[in-house]
Amino acid sequence: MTSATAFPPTPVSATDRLIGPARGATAWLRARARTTPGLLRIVSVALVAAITLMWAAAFAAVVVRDHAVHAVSADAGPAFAAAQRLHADLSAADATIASAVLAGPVEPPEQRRAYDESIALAEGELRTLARAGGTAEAGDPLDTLHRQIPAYTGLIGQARANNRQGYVVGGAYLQKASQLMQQTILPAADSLAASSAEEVDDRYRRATSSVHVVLVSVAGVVSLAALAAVQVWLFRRTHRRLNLGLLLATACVLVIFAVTLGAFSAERARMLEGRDHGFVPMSEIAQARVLGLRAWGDESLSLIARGDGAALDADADAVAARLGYTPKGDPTGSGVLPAVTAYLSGEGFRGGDLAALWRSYQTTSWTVRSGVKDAGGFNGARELALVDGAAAFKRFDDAAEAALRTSQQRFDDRLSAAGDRLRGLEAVVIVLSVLAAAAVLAGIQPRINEYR
Amino acid sequence: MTRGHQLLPSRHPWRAGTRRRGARRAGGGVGARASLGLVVVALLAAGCGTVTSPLPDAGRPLPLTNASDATPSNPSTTSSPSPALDCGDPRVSLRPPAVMPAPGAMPAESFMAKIAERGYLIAGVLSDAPPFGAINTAAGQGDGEDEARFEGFDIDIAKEIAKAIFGPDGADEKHLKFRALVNSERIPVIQNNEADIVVATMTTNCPRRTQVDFSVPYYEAQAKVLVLKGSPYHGIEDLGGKKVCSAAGTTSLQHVADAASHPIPVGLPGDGDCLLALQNGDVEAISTDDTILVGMVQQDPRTEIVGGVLDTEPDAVAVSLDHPELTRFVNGVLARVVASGRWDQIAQTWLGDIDPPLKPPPSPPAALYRD
Repeated sequence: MTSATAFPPTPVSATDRLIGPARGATAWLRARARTTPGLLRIVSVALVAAITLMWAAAFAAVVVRDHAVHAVSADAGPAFAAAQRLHADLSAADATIASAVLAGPVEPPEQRRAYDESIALAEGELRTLARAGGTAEAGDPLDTLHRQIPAYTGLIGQARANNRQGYVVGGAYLQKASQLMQQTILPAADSLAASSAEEVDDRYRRATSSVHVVLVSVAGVVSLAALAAVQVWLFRRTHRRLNLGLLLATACVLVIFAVTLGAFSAERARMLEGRDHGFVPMSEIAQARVLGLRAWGDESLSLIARGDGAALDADADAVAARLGYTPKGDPTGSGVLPAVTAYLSGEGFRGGDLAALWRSYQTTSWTVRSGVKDAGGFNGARELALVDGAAAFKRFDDAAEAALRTSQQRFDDRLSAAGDRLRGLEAVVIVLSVLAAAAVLAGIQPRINEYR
Repeated sequence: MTRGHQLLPSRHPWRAGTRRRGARRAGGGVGARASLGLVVVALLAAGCGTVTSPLPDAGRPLPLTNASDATPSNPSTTSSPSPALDCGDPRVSLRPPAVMPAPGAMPAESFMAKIAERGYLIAGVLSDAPPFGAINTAAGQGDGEDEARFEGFDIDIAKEIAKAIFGPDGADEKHLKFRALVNSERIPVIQNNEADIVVATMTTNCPRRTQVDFSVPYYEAQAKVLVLKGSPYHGIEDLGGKKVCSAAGTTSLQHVADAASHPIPVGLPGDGDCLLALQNGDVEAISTDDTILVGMVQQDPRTEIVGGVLDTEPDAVAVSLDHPELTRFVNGVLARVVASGRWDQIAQTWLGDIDPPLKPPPSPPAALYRD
């Protein structure tokens, strides 16, 4: 293309100058096109421009997609998972400490440890989320979490101190702490998770945008058509000789076109798998787990309130309904757990049947709740909740955690596979574009030289 | 598809073939282009369409049930008597039998005989109102038995009644079963025969007497004020403009609102919430029955009960209206408990360690009978 500009422009009239550069350029082009070498130069510049267009479209699309896939797998995805873990850890702390207080003035050491661990894990997640920075709107929930978690542990400390003395006011502190957790802290963790989820959605759209496909296709069709037209034209003018340079350029553009669209399609397929086998079940299982923890916590608090927990029982019932069960433990057929179970059995997950495990807990919990109302039944109900109920819940919780890890792993795997599909594509696009441009020039220059 | 035509015999097979082929191509051009377009659209839809990844519905959090907006979970241990129902002095109860039946020898056909036959007495009690009714989860810890135990003033009264039916071992778990109640359940359990007696710091008054029968009072609860030790308040009269807490929906809260010194009434769901608020400095004082305040002092020795009596509420044992013989029997037991000095022992056990001691010291209420 530099060879084209090396020729001095033909002189233009003063009126042309006055009318404007556009008019001047058109006139200049017309003047050039009158001679065959001039026309050939214009043609070669146009072809190189078309190839450059192809390169720009493919390269930009690849860069945008690669960046978006990376953003999901390195930022938004992990932030979403961390926010969900934070939610689960905080719920676990709240439910565990309620069960520990229910056990009596001397908390069972393993539950006390589990509570301490959950809080420590939550604080770790919070630090991770704070370091990651998050989005602008994530600032407020993070701030809430930073301020309210210490307030929560403070109230729990007072609840435990009172409980150790056998004072019933410990139950009031525990309820106040739990209210803080359920009404302020967990919603903040939820909104963190929601904003990460929005980010995942946004990056997903960018990583699979059909606009890229259209752009690359248009650029590909335009440059291929231009190359084909020039070749037909030259074929006719050069006594039916094929121009090897232009053929090579055509092949390069075809390869860019095919490789890019192929990679996009493969990457999109991995992203789709990542969503359907990773992101969606991950968010549902995480939700099932925190719902379970909430119901378990409600049960303990209701028992600590000595049956004076109508509001807590109602909350536990709402949670059970959301999970897909009646308070008695009969499946309603729709809810979070049926969705999760369908997915897990489809995946061949062997960590345990979440629905059956929940059902077992729910029926125990119902027995506990009705036992409290029986004459002389309080002790039996409390025992049942502390031993069988806690064990049944732990089985559910462990299975849910395992399932969660599986789906998170699947999400990560698919995303990195999606990223792999785009790896090296930029380099391929650059090399082939340069090659195609060089081939165009190499193919046309000899034709120009024939006129010297 | 063209091959079939080519196989047809023809004088100029090649030309015929080409002509046919050419015709096919020209005719198929539009269709092919259309189908190519369709393929592209389908590809775009199936393989190239933008993928969105919104949170699934099942992955969204469940909104809170309005647990905090629920009606106060621990309504008053006192009541709000409506003036329309006047039954005279609500403390007057049925006269006990002239000769109390001996344990194990309940009069035939009486409800006590049915209880004896059943083998156990069901007593509805509170479990969150120390020192009157509470569950001591510490009681069983350490000796291998992880058993929570009911204890308190009300519990001891129930035990005396059980002993009067079953004999000295009447207070054991076999003969006396406790049903943990919340305040709002106290009348329904009697009406539904889920409990034989309710001993739950329950005030006897005329509206309630239309629903259940009451024994003579076994304790005269006195509404007083609880403040932090060392605070400048010596009674409700010093608390003008200050926040004073009571359980929401109770007569105690009404007493605070009606006080001449104009304190600011603060209603919280439960008594425990009031103690928490006092400890946190959110309120300056708590006003409710001494039955509850005594329990608070035991839980927080940095508090003290001050001032005069704002109101008195006679606490009595609730019995079904269908079993007047049980009411008479309970009154007989209560009379014996007072006469034998057992009442003072019970009071000493549960109310004796308050510092400063209750003023006036607890004494058994006078028993007034009707026939």
